[in-house]
Amino acid sequence: LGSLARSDGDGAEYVLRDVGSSCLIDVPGASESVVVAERQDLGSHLLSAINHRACYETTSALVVHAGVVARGDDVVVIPGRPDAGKSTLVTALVRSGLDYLSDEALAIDLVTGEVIAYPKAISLDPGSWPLFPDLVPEGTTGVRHHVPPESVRSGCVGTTGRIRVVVSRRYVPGAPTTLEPLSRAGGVALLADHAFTILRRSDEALALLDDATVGASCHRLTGGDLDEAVEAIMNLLDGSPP
Amino acid sequence: MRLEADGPLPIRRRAPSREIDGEIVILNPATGAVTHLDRLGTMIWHLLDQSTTVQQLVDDLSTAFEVAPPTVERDLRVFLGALADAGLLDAATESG
Repeated sequence: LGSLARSDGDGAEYVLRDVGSSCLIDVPGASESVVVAERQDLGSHLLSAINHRACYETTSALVVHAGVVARGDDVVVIPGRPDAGKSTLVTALVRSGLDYLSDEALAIDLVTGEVIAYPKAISLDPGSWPLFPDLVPEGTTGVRHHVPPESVRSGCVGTTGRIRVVVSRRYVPGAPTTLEPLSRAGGVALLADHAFTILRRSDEALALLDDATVGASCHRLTGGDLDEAVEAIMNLLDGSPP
Repeated sequence: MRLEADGPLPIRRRAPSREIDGEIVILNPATGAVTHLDRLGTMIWHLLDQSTTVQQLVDDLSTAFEVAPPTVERDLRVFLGALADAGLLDAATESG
């Protein structure tokens, strides 16, 4: 769990139960069990439940739903809902030489305002498997394939940094790649909108996001071509005009 | 949203917010929904304290932006309707 790991308390117990052809996961603190219809997806659902808990219950950082990569100390944040294509873009960016911080969560330290890594295994949906045939063994089935970041590129896992670029990406199959600037307030609104626990911190969260994005450029990226999206983000890191 | 031309503007609800480079980001404290206003929207947001009437604001904006008052009033109604939908206006004055 990287930076979101907790060493306090007695830990959490996840109970897996067989119920005929399907399984249930009893998640600590949840009123309903997670139903897993296909036994082969048990690992994915268990990881998802643990990840969910880590993102919602961490107390040392503001956590935002986002893919996070970096070049040195310069962090690129790609906020987005589940299934927005974050993991696919993050994988392609890491393969292009950027460091991997997370495909799921931007964690901003509440004290220092620094981005801290949450380098969980990258969760690739079946739709992106053909793009990375070397990462997904032939014959793989299930809802998701979990890729150790080190297998994308050796030595790719980063640690900390400051936000330099915020990119809201909208995947539109077949559409040309376009990049439009957002104001920094627009970028902060985007990050706040994707924060896991925004109501728990409210005023403090907006101030933290403001401070954490000073000097950052914010953009909206639309298009369907993965290579062009990678190139656009690399150009932003280089400071090239869109 | 009903607005009387000579009546007061609705009141903005107390909500966590942050102004960045003249643009405000507002958090609905009940739902967690986030609203971002551009510079003009931010200026109007600050006026939503019942010290200005609808007509005064329409006249001021019409003069400042050289836009016909009916157009300004129509846009203002849309803007305030969006704020009301976002739960950012005081319910006690929404029908005023």
